[in-house]
Amino acid sequence: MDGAGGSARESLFELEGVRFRYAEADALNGVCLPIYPGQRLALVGANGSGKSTLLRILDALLFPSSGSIRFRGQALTEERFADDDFAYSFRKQVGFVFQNSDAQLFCPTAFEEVAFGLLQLQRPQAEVAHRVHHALESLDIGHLAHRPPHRLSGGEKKKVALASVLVLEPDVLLLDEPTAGLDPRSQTQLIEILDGWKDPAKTIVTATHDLHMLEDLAETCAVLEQGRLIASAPPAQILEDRGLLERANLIHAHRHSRAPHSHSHLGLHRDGS
Amino acid sequence: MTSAAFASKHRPGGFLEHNLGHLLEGLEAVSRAEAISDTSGLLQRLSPRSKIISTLLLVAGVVASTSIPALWIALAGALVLALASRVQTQMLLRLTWGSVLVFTGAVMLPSLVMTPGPVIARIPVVGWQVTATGFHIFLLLLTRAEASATFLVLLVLTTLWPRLLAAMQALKVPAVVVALFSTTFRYLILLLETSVEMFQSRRSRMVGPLTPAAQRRLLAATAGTLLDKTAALSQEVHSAMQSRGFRGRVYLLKQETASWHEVMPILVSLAAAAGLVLAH
Repeated sequence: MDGAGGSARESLFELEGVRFRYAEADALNGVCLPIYPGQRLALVGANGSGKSTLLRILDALLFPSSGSIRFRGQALTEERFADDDFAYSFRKQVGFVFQNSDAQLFCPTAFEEVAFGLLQLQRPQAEVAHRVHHALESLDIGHLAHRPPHRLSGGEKKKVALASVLVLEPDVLLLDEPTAGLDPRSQTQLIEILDGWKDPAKTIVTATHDLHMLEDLAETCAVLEQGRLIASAPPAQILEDRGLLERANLIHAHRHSRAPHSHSHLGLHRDGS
Repeated sequence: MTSAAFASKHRPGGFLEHNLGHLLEGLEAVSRAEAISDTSGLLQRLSPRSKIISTLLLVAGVVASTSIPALWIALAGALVLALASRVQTQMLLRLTWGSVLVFTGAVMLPSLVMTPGPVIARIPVVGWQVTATGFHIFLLLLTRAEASATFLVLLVLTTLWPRLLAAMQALKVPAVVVALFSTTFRYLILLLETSVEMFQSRRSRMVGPLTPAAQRRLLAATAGTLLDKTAALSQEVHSAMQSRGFRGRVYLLKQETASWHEVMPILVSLAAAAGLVLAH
């Protein structure tokens, strides 16, 4: 399997031989990946496969140890981000929803949380207030506006975190394990929200190991294993390839010894289980 | 389960129970304070801005006052405000009066016997002499500390934290200071919750009491783990801020401009502060 499709198009992100090393180990090892405008891409892999690191590199929160990453043809390097204009322009276009909502909600109320990004981008106060109200209402969380983060449930926190990014109206949305820790109803709501964000110009990159939600979240999957990209194809094709999923540690042999006839089969990993 | 219920249900003096009880108490105190701030009382109806200025004026008046009767009147006034704002006397007693009495009393105790003046009593056994001047100074400073602390606690208890931060910002406190207070409060609660979970998970896997050495090891391990978690979280928070355009300078929402009805409490407090200063 190769190619994410649409190779004739100009890519939005272009990763070439990206390596990233933490103190102890390689998190990414020579990742080459084009991401196209309007694409819905899922980065799939077991825990520690490098998904979150890759998302952080896409958001220019980390920079490759070697290799290169380009966004709309421009190299993303620490030097480029020393320039305020470039940094603001990039941050306006790319939004990142973190896996840990508690890390993302650091303001005293949900309203101020959603306003934070717009204020840092120095939008006029009246515009900020208007857009924050609109973002909260569109996610149906207007009633949470003045509530502090520690008074929100897990699902509410995730929605506020999403609103705090969607309010910036980014062209690219990066989501790190968006459904992790959410109850089924909240998961469905989240998928509906993302469906409502469908726009040919909007790109969504989701890191997940929840294979059950894959077809709802993406039209292309990139499978990572120990920092390497081992496949890229539509979700249905990936899900059918049991050998690939087993190799990527996304499914495992599951044994039922109490059944009348003991047998084993492949089971899906859900939420790291 | 409340911390009181927890303490009564579990073995007294147990190391984990003791720590867990304290942590739960901390979380409960936050909840109680928020519940009081959210009720409709006299002080809750005032704007946070005018409350901050009024409190500062009253504290300044209390600190500058040399009249013990005037300070007692101020303390009585604070109590009336507390009752009108649905703050229970018991809560004030525990949060403020008791601890101020202990700490200020301990610091000021030597002044009772070390200040020269006419002798009014003699401490049995040791034979130290309590002087009238020493007693006056002791009482004056203790009353000042009690009254100041009561006004400040009333401000905190009757104002929701986000509104207090907004008011600080409206009063031109630098944005970076407001942001620092905001994130500190937010993550203190988060660390409290994390600590509770850590102690609960430890308790669920333990049978029997811990030896003092094991208690020390557990405490050190907990502190180390929390420190690690804090460092990781702060890194994550910084990334989340950067991701939304933070470049080292904080921009916050502008607050509404002051209106005339906010001035009345300030004028009343100014008059009270002047009365405290001028009273003999």
